[in-house]
Amino acid sequence: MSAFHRTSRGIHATFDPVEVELFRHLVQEVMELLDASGQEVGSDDPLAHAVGISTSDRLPDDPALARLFPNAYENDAHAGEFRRYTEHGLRAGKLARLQQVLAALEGGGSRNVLLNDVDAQVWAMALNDLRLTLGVRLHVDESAEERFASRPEDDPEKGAYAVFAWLGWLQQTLIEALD
Amino acid sequence: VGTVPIELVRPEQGQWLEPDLPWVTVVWDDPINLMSYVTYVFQEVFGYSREHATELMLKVHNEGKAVVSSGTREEMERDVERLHAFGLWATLQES
Repeated sequence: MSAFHRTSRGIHATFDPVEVELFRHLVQEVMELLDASGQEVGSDDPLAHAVGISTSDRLPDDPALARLFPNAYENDAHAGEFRRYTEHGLRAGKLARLQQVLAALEGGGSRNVLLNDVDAQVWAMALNDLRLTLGVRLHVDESAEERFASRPEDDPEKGAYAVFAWLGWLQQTLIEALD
Repeated sequence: VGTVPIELVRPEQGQWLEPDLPWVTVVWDDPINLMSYVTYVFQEVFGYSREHATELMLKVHNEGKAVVSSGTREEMERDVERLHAFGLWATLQES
């Protein structure tokens, strides 16, 4: 496991095969979640879909999607209107960034990742969406670290929390490298 | 990505015909986003100095929320949309 760090050629990190597999799996899961939610809300009106208007104006039922696409207004009607004009583009952006991360992790074995500052921002944003999704699923709050530390070793959520913590560490080193 | 269609449809949002009173963008505390990332986002989205961005991040963290920008309703919708792209929990309201 290697942190992101700045080199003369760009921001660099190495992922071992286990990390690559884990990372790819998680990226794919979140992409599927985003894809499914996009099809659900956008397919009934092809024209609206084509020009990027979402037909959904409600906060998503799925708590992770609700966190990724929160209401912009307290007022429901205004929040719905904003959502109709922004959610489609926001979803497309998140999917494109995750796709870029996935592409860099293609192929077996360990991966060397070398990013310029523009790509590094894409990765930082994608890592954040992964952390938000996983964090909502695990009900992460201020006391999560303590709570998960006391779980038995064979608790699958403990493993998922370890992945969440790893992503946070990775994102932290990326932000520091971008500095 | 996706900004072109949004730009095309945005003028329609003026249909409320509300006067351009000052609006504000508010960022709310959440337990998942890293403090370093939130500071980075404020610098990237608003061009704030690291010092100012850190101050705002700490206000969000300690007080639960902070006003991070102000302007017309359209400007604040743009700010909120960018903050949502970065994964921050942002809303807009009349100041």
